[in-house]
Amino acid sequence: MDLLEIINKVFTVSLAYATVRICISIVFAGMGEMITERSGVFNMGVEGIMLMGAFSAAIGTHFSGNPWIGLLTAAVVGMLIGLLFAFISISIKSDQAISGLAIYLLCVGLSGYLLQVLFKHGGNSPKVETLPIMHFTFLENIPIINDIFNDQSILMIPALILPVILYFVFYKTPWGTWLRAAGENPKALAVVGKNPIVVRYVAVLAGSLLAGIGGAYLSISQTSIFSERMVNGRGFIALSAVIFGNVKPFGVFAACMFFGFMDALQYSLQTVIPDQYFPREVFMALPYILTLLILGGFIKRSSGPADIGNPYEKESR
Amino acid sequence: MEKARKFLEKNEAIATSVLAVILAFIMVAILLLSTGRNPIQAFGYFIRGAFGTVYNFADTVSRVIPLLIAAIAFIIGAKCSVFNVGIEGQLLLGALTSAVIGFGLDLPKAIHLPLMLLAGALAGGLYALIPAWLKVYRKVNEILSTIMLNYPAFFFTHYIVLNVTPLEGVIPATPFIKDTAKFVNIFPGTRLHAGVIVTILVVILANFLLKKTSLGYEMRAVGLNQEAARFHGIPVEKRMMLAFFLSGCLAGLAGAVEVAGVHYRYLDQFSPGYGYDSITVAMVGLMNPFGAIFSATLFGALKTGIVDMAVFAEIPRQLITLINGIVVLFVSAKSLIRSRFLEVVKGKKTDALEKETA
Amino acid sequence: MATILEMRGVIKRFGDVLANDHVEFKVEKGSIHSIVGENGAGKTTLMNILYGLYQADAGDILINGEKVIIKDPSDAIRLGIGSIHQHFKLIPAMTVAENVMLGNEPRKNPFMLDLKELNDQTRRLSDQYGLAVDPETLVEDISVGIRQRVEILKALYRKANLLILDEPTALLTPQETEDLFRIIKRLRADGKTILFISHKLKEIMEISDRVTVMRDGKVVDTVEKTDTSEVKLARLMVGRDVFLKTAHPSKKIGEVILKADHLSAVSELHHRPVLSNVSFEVRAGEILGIAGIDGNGQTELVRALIGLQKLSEGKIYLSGQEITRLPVKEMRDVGIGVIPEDRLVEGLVVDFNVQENLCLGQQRNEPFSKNGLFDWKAVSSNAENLVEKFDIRTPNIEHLARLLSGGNQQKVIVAREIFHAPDMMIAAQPTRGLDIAATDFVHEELIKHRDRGKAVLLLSLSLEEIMLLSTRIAVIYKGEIISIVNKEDTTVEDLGLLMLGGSYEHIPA
Repeated sequence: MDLLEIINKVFTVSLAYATVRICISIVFAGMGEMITERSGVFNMGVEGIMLMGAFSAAIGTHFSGNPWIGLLTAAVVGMLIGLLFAFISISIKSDQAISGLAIYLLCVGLSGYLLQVLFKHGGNSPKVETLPIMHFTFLENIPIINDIFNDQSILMIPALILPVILYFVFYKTPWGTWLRAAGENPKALAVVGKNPIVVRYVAVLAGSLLAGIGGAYLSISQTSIFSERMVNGRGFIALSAVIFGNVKPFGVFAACMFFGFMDALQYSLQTVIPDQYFPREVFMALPYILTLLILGGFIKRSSGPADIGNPYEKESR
Repeated sequence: MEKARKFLEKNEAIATSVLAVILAFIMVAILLLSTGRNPIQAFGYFIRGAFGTVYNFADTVSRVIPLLIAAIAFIIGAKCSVFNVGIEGQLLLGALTSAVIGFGLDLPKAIHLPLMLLAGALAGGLYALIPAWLKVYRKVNEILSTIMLNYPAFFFTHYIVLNVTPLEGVIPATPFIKDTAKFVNIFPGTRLHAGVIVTILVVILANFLLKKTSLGYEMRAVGLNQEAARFHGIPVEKRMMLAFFLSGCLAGLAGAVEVAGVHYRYLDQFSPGYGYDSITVAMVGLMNPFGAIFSATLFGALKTGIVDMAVFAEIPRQLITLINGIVVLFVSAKSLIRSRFLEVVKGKKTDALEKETA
Repeated sequence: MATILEMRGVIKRFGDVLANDHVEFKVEKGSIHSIVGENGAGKTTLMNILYGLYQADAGDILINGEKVIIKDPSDAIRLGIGSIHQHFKLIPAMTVAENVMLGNEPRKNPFMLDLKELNDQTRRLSDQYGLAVDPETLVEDISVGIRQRVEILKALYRKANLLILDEPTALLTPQETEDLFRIIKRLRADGKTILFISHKLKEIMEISDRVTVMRDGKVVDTVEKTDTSEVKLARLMVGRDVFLKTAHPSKKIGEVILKADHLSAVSELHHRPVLSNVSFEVRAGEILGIAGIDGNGQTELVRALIGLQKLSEGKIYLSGQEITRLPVKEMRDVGIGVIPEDRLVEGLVVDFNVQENLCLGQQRNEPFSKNGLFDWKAVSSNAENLVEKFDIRTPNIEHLARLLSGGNQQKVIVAREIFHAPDMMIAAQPTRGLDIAATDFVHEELIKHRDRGKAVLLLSLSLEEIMLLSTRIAVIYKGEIISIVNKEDTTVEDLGLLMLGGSYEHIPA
């Protein structure tokens, strides 16, 4: 096959459909982490929270028979883990990178262990009910849009709306202003009588809730099962997207889509052409390499919240 | 009572570590109880599985080897305030490189095996220079960068094994290495191999470096108080780069040793997370090479003991990963308050500087 | 006139330090009331208490005659107290208007900000007080002087009647200072009360109605501007207790050991000069004492002299040889020793034990290491020797430095540096936080070092110490050396005045 044929076979509408499908999980996590980072907290445990979200969703759905219960479970579990992280990072003021790492390890261990305990065999949960797929009749007659956005998970809708809502919240509401202030200069917030610690806690909880949902999507929508390695680095990809997108709603959304596209592309290439022409691992590694290039300053970007990663000390100058 | 308190205060670090492990075990016991298992019985199986017979014991030791080398890799870095969480990736690269040397070259044993190990170590060390450079010259947090770099390393090795090196059979792996590149098996019937000697050497050398050389002194100074080190003429950046490099080398070596002694080839996904376990082992071992021996033994024992536990008491293998996670959580929460002290002190000083530099 | 603020018996302790010691004074409504004192006098702590950032341990605050409790800044704001901090509490990435109204933004409805009103109100407020700021510019794009106005606007927006200005001219150019004073006078005309915190006498005398002088956490006196002068204030600030103690004079003064030649440096953080044309010489057998208020360049000078501070201009010579661009280790090796001003952060590795700390800086040299191998025997015997010679109180040499008392920690540093016998010893606040015995010890060692024919550069915040030890005395103010005299030719009052930026006809410049 020559290049033109390959391009024709790969760049189809179904690629776009696959992209959207893959992105949903990353978008939730990315939006969540963006909120957290805006407040000045860097949560590296996102990967772990997504994993626990996927796990809890599967469990919740399995034992209740209802995927919505599963979704709820994932959200709650995500928040609880977020609370733990927040406590260690904000109140105990541990190094955020290390506590993030600890959370990640904890989640990996907890999910794997509980899986074994509950189902007596490792690796996967039993199959579970999934969240509904949305079919919109009004889209049926619109050519390309129909193929891309119709018959996607119901979670696609909040995923698409989130960036808009968050943009509005960040820049048009008072709380958004306080959130941004907490991330830039918490002392400035403190001297006007608002508590940056509360703001940060809320941000971490919101972020981990969304990350939990992002994980839930994987086990009760994109697939109908939980398997131990299913998150597979998406959490870190979401982290990369936040950096890539400058911690701004539309930027992060675009970055999530871009990385999701990369993933969909590599799957597509895999089916269209044999592996030796296109090492798909390059696509998979791309988000990480790009992120490091940005962090290293080789790709220009404007800096994120000024106070990120620093614990807030109340009685210091 | 007062005496006990003073003792605890002085040995605060050990107390924290031990407490963390105990707490983790208590949590595990509770989990076991809640799922209807008998913790004491489980513990019994564990001991038997890990140390009960000579065979089991030898197997335990064989699992200790990569854990211990990897833990020392982390310790060397951490002593110089370099948190190398990329040991997993460096280990994979080291293993692959050594496997290639192992099957690709034909050399007498005296050269082949050492060359293999050296190549593996170098591979890890060189890969570690990337995050090292980013940390020193671009101030990129190394915990983030090293975790990120684990993924490309994983993908790369996966790709090479599947597409570049010759595949023999169904399992994704490189061809077997030549006999001249293998560690001789010490205990037939077990996994125990001569690599244990290398491991002991690593422990001794690491300790020697840290305690008996001026370089080690300087590295430790950097790890404990960067500002004071700089004030007294210690080239902080150079020492950090070195620590990162050495850490990467040891990580690569750990991978190479596993190839040379256990698998005799690079097996895709052979590492059950040695890289991440090494952090726990190092922390529980109080960041000390000899302490790491004890904690590596503990965690190695967990890996063999768990088999018996799984078979006889229906306890899942993933227990280890859970204990792992809990221990890291506890140890990281407490042991970082101490390092916070210096940062807060430094922070106040910087603030005062800002104020006065007016 | 009514009393708007009264402080009664306010006490605040930080650990062992008594930052505010029974502070008492009254402030009249509609006046400009200055609080003056050296760093460490307790002014900023007091203001932080007033604004609710700290809580006093004891004492009362009365606003308009009524006792109040100020738990946090929102209480202070409610009482009409506004604070313009020395470190601006602004958000560079946001606009002026967003900063001014942070936390109290006007809303179109409970969920949405009213951006138009945000900008309009800011503009109105700015015009009302002649502050001339554009509400829509980002704070990161405006100058320091204008940023300060934003801080003022913040306070005015919250209807502050009592404005605290903490060292407001610290970051301003002379022109910006004039503008600020104009604004302050306008605020007073409007009925506002201003609390002006400073250590700059000229400004105090220019702007104040009344002055409260603080020293060592206590209020020394409160006077009317018309009843005082720069000289009188300096005297009050520095204290008239006569420092008659001096060490025996040096026996013989020899060659020039250290020469600093027109050293200039710029702060990377603020892009302002921190050292300007600093020149001086220190000779063998003498102690040159540099007196000054904390923050006038002492830290930067020390760092420059050991190679940690980049110089934009100037050269450093040691015994005739230029050493300006040498790396830190080499500067030490050629003969510069330092007792740093912050023993915990710069002087010691507190998690190292005593013997390890006693060879810090020398670890690569013989006898401590040879060919890269560390010789613990040499390290221990060195430690035993120093512990005995300098009477360092420690159970053993393997004791962690963190566990030693402050005085003994300093002894470790002094012992280490002195024993190495550098030709040039720089001692920066060497007795900070030490008790009398430890202080005397350090003083004795410095004198002995001098008497061995070495040179000592002493930087201290304590005039008593400077007067005690120095052969010659220099004053540093705003990064410049403004005077170098022999000890006999000056007095504490003169020095105090110079340190505070005052002028005095008899002082040689």
